[in-house]
Order: sequence, then structure tokens, then C-alpha cells
Amino acid sequence: MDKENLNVETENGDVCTDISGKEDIIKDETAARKEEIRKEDNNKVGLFAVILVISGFAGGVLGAIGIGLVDSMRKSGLTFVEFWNQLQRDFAVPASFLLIILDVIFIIISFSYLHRAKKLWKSDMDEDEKYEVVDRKLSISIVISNVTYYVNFAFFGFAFYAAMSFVEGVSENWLHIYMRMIDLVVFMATLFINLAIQRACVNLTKLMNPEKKGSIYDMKFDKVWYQSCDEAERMQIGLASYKAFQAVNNTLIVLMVIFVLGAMFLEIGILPIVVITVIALVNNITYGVASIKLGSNTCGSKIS
Amino acid sequence: MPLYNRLKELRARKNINQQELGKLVGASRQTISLIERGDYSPSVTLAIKIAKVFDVTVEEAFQYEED
Repeated sequence: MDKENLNVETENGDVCTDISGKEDIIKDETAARKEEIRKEDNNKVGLFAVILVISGFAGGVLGAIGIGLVDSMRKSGLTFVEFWNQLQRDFAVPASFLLIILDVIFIIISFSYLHRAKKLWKSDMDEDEKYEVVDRKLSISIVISNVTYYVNFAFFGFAFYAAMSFVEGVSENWLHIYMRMIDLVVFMATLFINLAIQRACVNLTKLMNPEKKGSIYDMKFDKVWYQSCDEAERMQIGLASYKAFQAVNNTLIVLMVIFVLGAMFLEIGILPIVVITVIALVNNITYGVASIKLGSNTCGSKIS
Repeated sequence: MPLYNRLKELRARKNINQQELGKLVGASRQTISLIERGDYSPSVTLAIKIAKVFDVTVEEAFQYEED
């Protein structure tokens, strides 16, 4: 039945709406929509099943490898924990060198992008094109700088943990004391240099875009910066955040499988599973709550 | 995206760069650049503000065409 043909004329000439006809239309539309949803699901269910089977198979293979590893370690008289501890102990010296090497490499790359951005900003290039190129260089510099923070913390932790936990009499071993002091100096220097690079990047961006607000020394920098962004920039932040959310979720699933198998076969304990679960819960609950809140206000205008 | 625009031409006519146009309409230079390239469809409010700066109608600044 046609929507336009719902109006019917009664015996006394009044025009009224045929409700039963409307109900039929709604029923038809609902049935059609249900059919559409069913078809969409059917189109994807095959691939989903294949992925499920492959994942199950991969899990089985990983499990078998785990059992094999445990067996071979038992035969050599070494438990996984002993093997892992030995690996961590042997990692103390390389971790120190890697801390220095990686920090220096990342800082040089990050600084070179900042330096090139500053140089271009002062050049007499076409204004519109200049903004584009400088923006990109500053963004790359900030991304590398963020990576540097995590690499710095991780390798500093590796080096200290290995030395403190496994080297006997570390407080009387001068070689280790010197190495840890160097680790500490490199770690602190990297933190300060990185902060200086990020400050320079943010300040140049603010110079280029007078509407931008926020100081990197402010604990609420992210919030203030977001509030000074316009509609397109907020949309970009939203899309980038969604990509990050997906990447984190996928990574967590893979890590969860690895750590559950590890806990089952390699005596690695449940701490990694707890950590992964906490991150996954924070990630998904934050996303869900934010989605619900955004759905109930005006197109995310209140997001902060 | 099927939203075409004449911002570059209108800017040239008024002799203003992306940064200046952004300032006039309360948007960033990057946003103006995205709109010009057709990579971002502005909100109705922003489209009206842009049209006002150039003293043209929204339809004269932006044209929607079906793919």
C-alpha cells in the first residue's frame, strides 16, 4: 500500500486516515528491514566463521608449541621461570646500551623534524603551502617524541630491574653502580630534552595558529587544546581516537591469547592477564560511556 | 565527497590567504585548507559564515553534486 493513499473519505464526506493501512505499511517496512539485516549478517557470517576456525587453529598451534617448549625445558632441567629470569639477567647490560642508543636516535629524529619545521616557517615559501608542510613536520616530531617517552621509561625499567633483581651485591659492584648512574642521567636528560622538543613544537603550532591555546606545563593541556580546536579538527581527533581505540583493542586481544596460554603452560602467573584486563576494561567502558553521553547531548558539543 | 567549492577563487578575488579567512570565520587555517581540497564538508554554520565573508550565497560558494 502507498503512503499517499492512506486518506479515505467517509459516508458523510469527511476525510480520515486509514490507520490499519498505516500499520500494514509499518509491518511491511519492518519485515523488509529485518530481511535486510538478516542478509547483511548472512553475508558476513561465513568470513566470521572462517576467522573463528583459523583463530582456534592458531590457538591450538600456539598451545602445542607451548607444551613443546615446556617439555624441552623440563628435559634440560630448566623451568620457564628460570629460563625467563636468566634472559632478564642477561638483558641488564644490553638494556643499558639500548636505552642510550634508542634515546639518542629518537631525539635526533624528533629534533631534526622540529628544526626543519622552524627553518621552513622562516622561509619565504608560499604561505598556504608553508603551513601545510610545517604542520606535518611538527606532527611527526611530536609523534616520535611521544614514542621516545615510552621507550625511555621501558628500557630504563629493564636495565634497573635486571641489575637490582639478579646481580648479587649490586651496591658494592662499582661497574653496576656507574652503569646505573649513567642510566639515570640518560633517562632524566631524555625526559627534559623531550619536554623541550614538545614545548617548541606546541609553541610553534600556537604561533602559526593564533586560536590555539594551552601550555604543555598545564596538567589540563589536552582539554584546553581540544577546546581551542574547531569543528574539523575535533572530527579529526575523533577519527584518530577511533583508530587508536581499534588498534589498542586488537592488540589487547592478541596479548590476552598469548598471556592466557603463557599462564596455562609457562607459569608466567596471572599478572599480565590482570594488566591486559584492566586496560581492556578502561578502554571499552570509557568508549561506551562516552558514546552514550554523546548520544544524549547535542552532537558531542559538550565532549571534554 | 560530492561537495564542490569555489573558496580558492573567492579568496583570490578578495586577496586573503587561508589563515586570514580562518580568522574571519572562526576556524583554523587547516580547516579552510581541508574544505578547499574537498576533504571536509563544513557545518551549515561555518558554510554560512564563509559565504557571508565573500558576500555570496552558500550555493554560490558550495555546490552539492550527486556522485
